Amino acid sequence: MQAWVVVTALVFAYLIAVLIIGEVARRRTSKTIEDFLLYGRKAGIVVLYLTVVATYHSAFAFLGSGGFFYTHGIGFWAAGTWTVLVGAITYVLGTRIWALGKKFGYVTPADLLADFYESEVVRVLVAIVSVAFTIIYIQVQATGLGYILSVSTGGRMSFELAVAILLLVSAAHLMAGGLRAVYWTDVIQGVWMYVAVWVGALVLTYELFGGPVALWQRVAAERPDLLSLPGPEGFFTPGIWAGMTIALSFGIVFQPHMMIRWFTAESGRTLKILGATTPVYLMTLFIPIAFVGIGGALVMPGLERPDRIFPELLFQHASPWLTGLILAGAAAAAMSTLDSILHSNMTVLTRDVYQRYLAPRRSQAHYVLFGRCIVVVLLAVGYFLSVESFDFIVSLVTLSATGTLQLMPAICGICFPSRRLTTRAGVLAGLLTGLATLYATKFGLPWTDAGDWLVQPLGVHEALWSVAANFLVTLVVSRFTRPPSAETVARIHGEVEDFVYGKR
Amino acid sequence: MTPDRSHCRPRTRNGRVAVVAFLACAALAQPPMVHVFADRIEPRLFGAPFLFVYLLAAYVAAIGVLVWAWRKGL
Repeated sequence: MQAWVVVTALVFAYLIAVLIIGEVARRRTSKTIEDFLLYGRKAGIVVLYLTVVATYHSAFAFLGSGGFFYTHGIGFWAAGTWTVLVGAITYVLGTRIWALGKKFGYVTPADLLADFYESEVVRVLVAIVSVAFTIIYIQVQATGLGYILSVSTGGRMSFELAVAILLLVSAAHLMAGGLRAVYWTDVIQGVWMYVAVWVGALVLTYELFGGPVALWQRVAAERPDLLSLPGPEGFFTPGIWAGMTIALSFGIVFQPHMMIRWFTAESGRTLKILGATTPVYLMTLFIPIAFVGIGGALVMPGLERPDRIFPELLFQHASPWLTGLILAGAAAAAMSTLDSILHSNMTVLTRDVYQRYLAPRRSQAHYVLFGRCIVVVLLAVGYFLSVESFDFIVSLVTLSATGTLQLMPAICGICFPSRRLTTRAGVLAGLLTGLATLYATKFGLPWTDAGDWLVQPLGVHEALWSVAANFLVTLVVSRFTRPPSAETVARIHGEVEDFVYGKR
Repeated sequence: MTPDRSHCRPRTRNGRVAVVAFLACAALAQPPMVHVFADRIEPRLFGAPFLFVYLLAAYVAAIGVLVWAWRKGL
């Protein structure tokens, strides 16, 4: 049997298993919107752990990271920093947001922000920012899935068809089983992805170099530029390193698919264990990927699309059975994030826009049906973006995270009570300033080339410029504008105080 | 009732230790420490480049702080 047949058959067997899980979850899901959207707020540590790590790590980790190690060398090991920060943020901020969600029944991040800042404008703007920037994330997963299946079939299946098939499978099991289906598949995908990356990387490392130590020796002798900063193309300067750290830690956890996971925890203690231990999984997954990316730069130089380095190496140097199992793990990595993003965007648009403004007081089943329609629309957008444009997967993820990073001042104002309150006007002004600064420092000015000097001034990443401008404007405007009512502040900040330091 | 004291600074000794220790570990993995001090291939540690092992040690230490904080019930 030809290798591509074995590989493709294994990937498709995996997809069928995902669909079966979706159907089983559908039969177990009740008709309530809370069960469909929030798993009934009953996620224990094992399920929550695996769904969080599987959602955080996506095509970004499996494909994009390999491509970045391949192109920019060891600088991408900065990735460890942001995974550790994700744990700390979950520990400190996640637990507070969980406590508020449980007390006041929040379902989306916009619920939290609109309640504290007493503003429907805040709700809508947060919903728009959340959805707009995570659509880029849908594109990332779709692109990754397309790579996997087109490589699996040895190029016999077009990239476009591969993207379409895998998007449909993700959507089908999400629409059938809601968040329960997502969590169940994430449990399998989280384990599979970790094992697949480690096994695949070690097999390739021993096959191609004779082990990790020999790999490092050969890279040091032949491509020392891959083992020092700022890397072969001068990418990992201090300003970029620090900016990516902030964007890919705070920016990712403020995306709705990550924050909604905090709401689903069964207890605050569960979230603290999660915060303390998830970095172990998240950080160590980059070790084998470093072997693949940096080693791949030696044995397969000049790859047109570096993001494909892992599957290309597997296809050429590993057995078909192993390649099939590992690429199914790669599909798992992408699908586990894709379905989570689809789910969160569906939740945000259904709850924060449709249910609140367009069609209030309809049945629970009506909203579930509307949510399913939203998934179809989002898939169409993701498909269009993935086949019409190209960029490094890591670059797209960073842009996506930098957008949602702009929610940081508003969220910190809620979760860290102090005498200086952030206000509705301050948060809105800061958010808009942050987005404008992000645009200018990422792309320059749209109407003239004279704005090119604005792109990453002083070599500092746009994430740092935009969030600094956002914080500054939020704090200054908040000094001179009306704070939330004393009753709301006492209710929400009082709950944070009670949760963190016990009853006063 | 609004809290009388800010949440921006930890109130207990263990809380202060955890915050300072975590920030120190995080700073070790950021510029300028990384680019000035750790940007070297030699000496190799366990066969791996110095920068790789240096960062790994900083990450493990930061995770250790998080686990310590959890064990202390912070």
